Amino acid sequence: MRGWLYLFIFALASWLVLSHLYPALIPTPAETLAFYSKAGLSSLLHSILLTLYHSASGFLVAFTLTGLSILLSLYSHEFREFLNSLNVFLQSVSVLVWTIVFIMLFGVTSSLATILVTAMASLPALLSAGISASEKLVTRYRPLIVLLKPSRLELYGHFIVPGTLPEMVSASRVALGIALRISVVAEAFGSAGGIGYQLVYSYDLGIKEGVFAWALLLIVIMIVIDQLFLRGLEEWVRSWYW
Amino acid sequence: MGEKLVLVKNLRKSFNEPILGGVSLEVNRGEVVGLIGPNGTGKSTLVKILAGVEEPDSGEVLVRKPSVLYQEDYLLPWKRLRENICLWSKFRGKKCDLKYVERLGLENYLNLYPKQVSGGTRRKAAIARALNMDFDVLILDEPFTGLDSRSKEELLSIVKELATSGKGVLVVSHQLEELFKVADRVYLIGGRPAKMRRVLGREELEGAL
Repeated sequence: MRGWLYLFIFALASWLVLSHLYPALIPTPAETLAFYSKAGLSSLLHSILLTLYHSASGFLVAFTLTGLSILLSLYSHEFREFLNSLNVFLQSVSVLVWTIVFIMLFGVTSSLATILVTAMASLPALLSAGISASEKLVTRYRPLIVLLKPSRLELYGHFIVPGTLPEMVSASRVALGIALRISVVAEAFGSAGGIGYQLVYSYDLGIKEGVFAWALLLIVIMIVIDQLFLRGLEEWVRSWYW
Repeated sequence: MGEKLVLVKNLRKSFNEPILGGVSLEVNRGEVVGLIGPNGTGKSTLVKILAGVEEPDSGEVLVRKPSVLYQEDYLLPWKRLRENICLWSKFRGKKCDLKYVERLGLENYLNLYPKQVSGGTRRKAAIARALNMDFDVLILDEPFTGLDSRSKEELLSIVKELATSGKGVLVVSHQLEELFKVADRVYLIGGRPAKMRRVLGREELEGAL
């Protein structure tokens, strides 16, 4: 907790100094806070919820794809090898490329483009954790699996899903962070709303308080989700570590 | 002599170096057979070969419908003890028979997770899981580790009952007193790579006791 206090003091002090040194570029904290009341609660809430919707949906798509991929890899060794190569490929594709491709496919104002960009950006983190955790788990419990001879679906449901959950939750902390950051970038390029859209809109209109206010909002949301939700969830599943 | 439930002939196994160098043993229906030897002589490797976890390099291995208690408990930490014990029944769509749970003193721990109970209770849960399977031969690797004297006696009594009912039991253990009380025959292995050193019959075991 003390670490957060030090960070807050450091950030606030730096901000005050920089806004004093470069008043034309950087607004003061007071000016930035005043922007929130000017923007209005409904506009703020709408943008926050839209960004959360984009990032959570993208994260869920990535999480579902990871779960399905691990299940299919139990049925085919070839698919497992394909998955490893696919993961390397996905890590090599820039977010900008995904953004352009999905905007071309679904249009500038489509939420689907933003969701899919977010999914593709967070997928590698989940896929890497999922593949590695499931392989380790099957190796660890091989004597029991050989003895009990579960079907592939039973192996998946009783061993792999609960057994990989601790590592998947840890990976989700990273993946959700990526999803939130990337959804904002995707919104900035092609969306009719959300924090990313508002941020670029403020920049285009030269409203420096707006740029800082929306950026600050995003940082606070990410920290709150990580500390209040994901950290708690990680603690809860820690007892399942084998 | 009863039907052979375990038959091992001249079994050899190497990992980076030779571990088992020509081991032979057999367990017949209605028999309790012991296997003893110093640490690192490949007893647990032999158990894993009998369970089908490891492949032998050469030799003959025949095991008829085994259930195995490994040296490690392999309890799933995300399942309660009851679910761990009943895993085999669940996978076969059968009703889980908890008849050994009370005898092993596990009835008050069934709703707890493995990390919430002692090592001895975890060991008993792993034993109950092995007993819950449908088997012809029960292979127990160090079953007495962590058990109190009452539980050891109860396990010995269960092993004797199983043999009387026509099952075969192979017990790998360091605890010679328990093993000598119950076994019809005990194999001693030793050396590097491990070979059969001696076979003790019932009369020799009683003499040793």
